[in-house]
Amino acid sequence: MKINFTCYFFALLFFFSCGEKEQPVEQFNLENGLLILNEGTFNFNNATLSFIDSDGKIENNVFERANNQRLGDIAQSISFKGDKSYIVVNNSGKIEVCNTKNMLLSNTITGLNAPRQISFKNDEIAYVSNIFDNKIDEINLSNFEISNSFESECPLDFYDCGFDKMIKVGQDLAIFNLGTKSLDIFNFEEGLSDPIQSIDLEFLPADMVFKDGYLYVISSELDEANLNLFKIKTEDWTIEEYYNVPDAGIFRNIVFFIGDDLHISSSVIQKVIFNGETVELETVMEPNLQSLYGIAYSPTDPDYLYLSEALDFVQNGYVFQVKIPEFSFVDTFQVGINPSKIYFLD
Amino acid sequence: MRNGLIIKIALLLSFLYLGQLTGQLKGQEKANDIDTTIQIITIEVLASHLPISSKKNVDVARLFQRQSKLYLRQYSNGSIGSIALNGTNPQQNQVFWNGIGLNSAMHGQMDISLIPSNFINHLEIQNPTLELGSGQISGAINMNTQFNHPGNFILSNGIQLGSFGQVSLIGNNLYKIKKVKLNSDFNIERGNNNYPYKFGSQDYNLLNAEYQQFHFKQGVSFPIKNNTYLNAHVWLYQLDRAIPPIAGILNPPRKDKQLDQGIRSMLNIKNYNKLFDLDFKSAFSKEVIEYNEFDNDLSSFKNRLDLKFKIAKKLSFGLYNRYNFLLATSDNYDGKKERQHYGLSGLINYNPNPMIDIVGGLMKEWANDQKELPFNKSLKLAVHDQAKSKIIQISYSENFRIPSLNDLHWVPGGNENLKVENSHQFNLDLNFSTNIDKNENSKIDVKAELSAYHNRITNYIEWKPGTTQIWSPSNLSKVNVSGLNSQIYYGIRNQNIKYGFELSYSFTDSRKKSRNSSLDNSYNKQLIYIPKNKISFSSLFGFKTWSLELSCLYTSKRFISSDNLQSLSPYFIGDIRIGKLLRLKNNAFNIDFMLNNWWNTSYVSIAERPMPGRNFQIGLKHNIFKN
Repeated sequence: MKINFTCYFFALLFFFSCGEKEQPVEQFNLENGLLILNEGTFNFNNATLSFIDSDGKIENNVFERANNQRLGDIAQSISFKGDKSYIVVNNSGKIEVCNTKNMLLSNTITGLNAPRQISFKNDEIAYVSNIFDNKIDEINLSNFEISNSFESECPLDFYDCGFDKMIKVGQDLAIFNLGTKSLDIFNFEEGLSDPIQSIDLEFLPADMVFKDGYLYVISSELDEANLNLFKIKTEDWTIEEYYNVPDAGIFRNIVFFIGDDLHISSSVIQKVIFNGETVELETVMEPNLQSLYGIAYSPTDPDYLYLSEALDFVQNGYVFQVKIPEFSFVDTFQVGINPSKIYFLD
Repeated sequence: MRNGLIIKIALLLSFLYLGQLTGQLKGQEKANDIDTTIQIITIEVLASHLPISSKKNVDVARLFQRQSKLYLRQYSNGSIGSIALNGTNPQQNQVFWNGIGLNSAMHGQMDISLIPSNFINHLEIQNPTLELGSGQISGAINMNTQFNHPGNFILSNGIQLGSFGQVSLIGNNLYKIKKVKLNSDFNIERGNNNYPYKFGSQDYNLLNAEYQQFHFKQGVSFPIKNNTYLNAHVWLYQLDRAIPPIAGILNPPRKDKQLDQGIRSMLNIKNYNKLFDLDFKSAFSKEVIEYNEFDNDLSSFKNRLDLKFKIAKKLSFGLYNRYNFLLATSDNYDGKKERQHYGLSGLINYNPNPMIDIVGGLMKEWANDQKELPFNKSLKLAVHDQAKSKIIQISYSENFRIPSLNDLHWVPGGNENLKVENSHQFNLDLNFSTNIDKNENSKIDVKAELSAYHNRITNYIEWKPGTTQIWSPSNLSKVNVSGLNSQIYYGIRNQNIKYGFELSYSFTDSRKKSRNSSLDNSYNKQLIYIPKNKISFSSLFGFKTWSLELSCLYTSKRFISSDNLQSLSPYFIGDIRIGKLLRLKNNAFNIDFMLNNWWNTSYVSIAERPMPGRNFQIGLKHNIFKN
């Protein structure tokens, strides 16, 4: 029939015009620059890596171009161990283990629920925090398999529980517990079944940074500008100082050091000035971004601060190089969707 | 999965059916008009002109997918599906069943997987109209169950088997006892949905995608007295489904699932007298959604009173009252949420001569959880010939959408300060139809439609992450949508042969018209998930008791990033159906074989949610008719 023939014709046309071609992999040399982790859009499988070298040359979509496969859905964090990068891909439930210099994939850790971050006990064992499941998985680094799991009870609803950011301090591991809104301290020798200490943060844990024997932790009240700042002595995990900051700003709170000065970001960047029993926030920069999503500073690149902009979270974002102490924009780089973390590669 | 319950219900219905059948066969005297029997159980698609018999055994998702004005977003067969009309999102159109809105007040849209195709026999897509109230940013999709009884007794029950473990039992049983008409409809279906797909260069099978559903509806219609009629429906449903992970995951660490249970009931009284026509509808529905461990419960009590007055020979007036009471509880709300929503619309229709209609309308609504709702206006001018076979119509209509309860109250992230979304829509519609009777037994139908629209939407609601990455909605954008819909139908029928084809094309330009920062590359770009071009083609060829139907659909690329740098590939799919009608004394059997996606196109309607490749269905339906 004529109609059948028409359909066949269009079908054949479509087939021949849209056939997928295998792309050749590319070799990268990722040294002396910034590695940008672009989360991607939830459920779109479009997380990517970008690299900006010291000359300002940018390479986007590095992981896929190096391995001819996509990174996955919602890249959460990267941890570095030896010459390897461990890229935690939250909604794909996996960690991609790559050579940091070229992002060539060597192993994949699978079977994780909703991994957020990986932290290394030593060369053989690592721990992965999971959101939703209130679970920490132990990874055997010789075969990249889960060797043990430590679950905690969830006092709230399923989606309100989970472990998030981690920092290893000596033989201790400090982890944000979202369900109890606390900082839980585990000791490697005593195991991860029960924390040796749990520090109540009152609000949802937001960020933490370690410097000179102290952990600086912030927790934020949902949809409010109210924020708690804790200065915790890691030698015995005691709260040395605690401040409530009622006007910290409501967008994503990040805590970081520039030199010896502690800073907190919301939609603006503020320097924390300690005045005995209170703190004062001094605004050092109003970047006027739509969605300030990530901040990085490294003493190895002391003249610059780097900010990332996620815009409306469904389009490619930007990374800005900012000159300090002037806090003026120097350069702009278009990266992938939702750039959330910026890492410095030697 | 509630296997036990579904099996018990299936057995119960089977016994009932056998009982009815035995009784009927004893009393049956002779065979009747089998063609009529077939038509009554099919869907009349006013948005489409193909003979209605071509729409039988087509699931609602596929039926919507074939409409060029609509874009279907579905995770997989039987899974959550939503429909977007004329370049907007699925929350911005209203789906009505017999005049009562079905969109969930909680999430704002209608999950079309909760509508079995054999429960509706009339589908219409229309421009926003004030008589139906708010929520029609882009328009309305009307689905109706009508009591079109050509005889006293029709039993139509069947089974359908398909690829990937699909089994369905469907039934439409109609009885007339004196002046009382009764409809008993059911639909029981299950599927494994474990179809293969390709991701990158690897082959996968869809995981965690099985579903089971059960629907039962009982309707009754009878005249109370002269010029006063009563219709009532009760509809029970349960859909238990697993939610598959995104593509490319071999060992999903968690298995998401959703259980929907509910009841929809409706009472409709119509009265026609010299002074006015009265149409009163009262509906109660309860929907329970269990998503993993989360419970959501919504009770709705919706009422409509429509009064139409003939003021003078050339002037008529319609007054439309609506009162809705909603009560919602959710694990994600802080306490119970209640909404009382009252609306009043008035439409005046002036016909200066028989070929001109001028309709002006006003609408005002109030809701206890909204400060001030807008006052809306509409105006329509239609010029047509006496037979209304040639129509030119221009119209302007304002409408708005109240944020859903999730938008307002979801914990975490809901924003109780959200404003309503507003729309201002202009339409131009041209319709042409003609019938040519070549002789007594041969007839040709030609129909053509062309419509253009422009819709300006303000206070467009968007969700974005806020503090500690919790997503929250806000009134961020302005959006302009312009488009063109066209459709042509040609049909010919004589004693032995029926032939018809329909070609539709839609162009949709849906652009964001506000910029949130100088770097925002979404300004003036096509909205995500809106295809610019959609073409559908269907044809039906019937010879005596055989029928052959072919349909093809082309959907252009759809952007999935607001800067239009990432997109989903266009796709072109086709289905074919071969049907045979067998008559055996008092009975008729429809046998259908369907080959869907017959050249095995890999495609998605939602990013990373592969749809099935080539698959088949075979159906057997048994029909008995008695005058």
